Amino acid sequence: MTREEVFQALNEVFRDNFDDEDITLTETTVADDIEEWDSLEHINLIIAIEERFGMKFTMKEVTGMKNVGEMVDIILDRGTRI
Amino acid sequence: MIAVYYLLPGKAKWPWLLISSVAFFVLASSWKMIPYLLYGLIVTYFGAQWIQKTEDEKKRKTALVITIVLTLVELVALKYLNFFVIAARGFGKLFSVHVGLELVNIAAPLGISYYTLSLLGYVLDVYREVTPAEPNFLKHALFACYFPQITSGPVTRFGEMREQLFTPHAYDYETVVRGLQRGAWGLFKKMVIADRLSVIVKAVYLHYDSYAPLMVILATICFAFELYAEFSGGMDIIMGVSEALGVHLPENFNRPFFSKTLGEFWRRWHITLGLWFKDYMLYPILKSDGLQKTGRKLKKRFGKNAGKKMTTYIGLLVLWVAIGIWHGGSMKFLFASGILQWFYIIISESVQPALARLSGRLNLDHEHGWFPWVARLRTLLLICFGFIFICADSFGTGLKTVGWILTGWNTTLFYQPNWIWLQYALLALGLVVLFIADYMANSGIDVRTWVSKRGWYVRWPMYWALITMIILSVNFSTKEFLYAQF
Repeated sequence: MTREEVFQALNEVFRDNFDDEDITLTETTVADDIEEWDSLEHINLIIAIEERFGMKFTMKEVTGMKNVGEMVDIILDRGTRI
Repeated sequence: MIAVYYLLPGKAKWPWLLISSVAFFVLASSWKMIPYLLYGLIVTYFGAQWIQKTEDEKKRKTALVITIVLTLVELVALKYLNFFVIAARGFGKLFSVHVGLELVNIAAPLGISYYTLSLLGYVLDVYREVTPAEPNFLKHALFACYFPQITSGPVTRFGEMREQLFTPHAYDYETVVRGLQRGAWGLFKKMVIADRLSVIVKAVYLHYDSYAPLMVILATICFAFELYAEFSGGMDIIMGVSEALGVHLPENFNRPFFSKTLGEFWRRWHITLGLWFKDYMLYPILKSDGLQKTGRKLKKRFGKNAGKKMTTYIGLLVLWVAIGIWHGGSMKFLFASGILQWFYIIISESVQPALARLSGRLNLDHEHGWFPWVARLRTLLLICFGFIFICADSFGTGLKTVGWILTGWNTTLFYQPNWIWLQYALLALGLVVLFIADYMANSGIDVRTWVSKRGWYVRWPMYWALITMIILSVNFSTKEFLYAQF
């Protein structure tokens, strides 16, 4: 997978999870940038991403990731499908 | 104590904090409680070392589970044994079996509910590799029993506190003064406001059915402000003393009564407790294979959106039951601090999209004008409904009180405390000052900086007024803090 491909796929997951077709992710997107992205939605999002890319985040990552860019790094590292 | 801290050389500073903390613990509870505290410290210390040294994932998990169980056993035995006795008896009654268990009266060490959470969080952080295990047992001990936080929190994380506690802090006039200022502010809240309000609350709830329902409602609202003034005031004292030592503790309150929804309220009230339960309980539950399997089944049956919501609600229920039980091993806490709050939150989550559409059509402004205040009033009333059960001596009495509020309209007696006008004036003034300060803070103004920028002719009268009000409240002062019972 390339970084571009992961971003594309991740975009789809976000749009589906938040039911919002206008979401466009960048390297520096954070929770504050998306209105519905609160702590409860965060975990639903994580689960959806894990299912899509066939991988698991560690709890350390779940609470520690700083932005979408970091998320993409981890997916590129451990994701098994797109 | 603060002076000694700054007089000692760098290396001796944190040991002095430890000595002071142990002394505080012994003075505030007793020598006999030390073994209980030591047990928790030793179990978690060795548990963390064990987890860190183990490579194999399965063995690590086993080590984690054993450590958690051993730590919790103490908390459960000391605080929840009666809950089981009552439950067992109740169960026995269902089958007409006499369960010959007696209620026990065991004293628990100061702050056990709080430091247990801090220690469990530490062990979990070591397991998750968020923080390395602390090799020095005494430093580990200081983290758990650091005296400003041991009575009623805030619940801290080892990673955040390590830097604060073990790095020596050089003396700085500003720091000490700011800390003491905050402490004085907390003292003001507790003594001028909370202790006076508690007179009203106690009197009315002692004989709720002698008073008009409106009086009972009023007393409950008084309790809301009493609890807020006392708990957040206690936090101010704790944070202030700690700040004076150069150690910054995390905030526990963020003007909660300005919340427009219940969800927001629980992000602004007892913040560190909420964060702890979110990170160490909610997330693991929602991510667990068990719940996810259930989620997939629910999604298949009820559709994606409904299934997803239901799964979240189940996870939230487990969370809130745990929070309720943490507050107290009795039905009233399980209900009022647990299940009721869960219920509020899921209703709010379910209704939210429809309400958003409605207010869109009516062009309601959520941020300005009257709407926020209506929302805040609603939040206050919903929270007060739960407080009825907290003020009552049991869940059953709570239900009866609610019944009284709905039906006792023939009684018109209002409670009047035996006060001279000065007491009323001090309480009223205190509440007004608190409201103004919180309103300013909620609008983003740092009140202490604002005050320090005023001329001396404004600041000095303010300080003297504050001190005078505190002195005039000395007779009222009840030496206990409500949240220290946990």
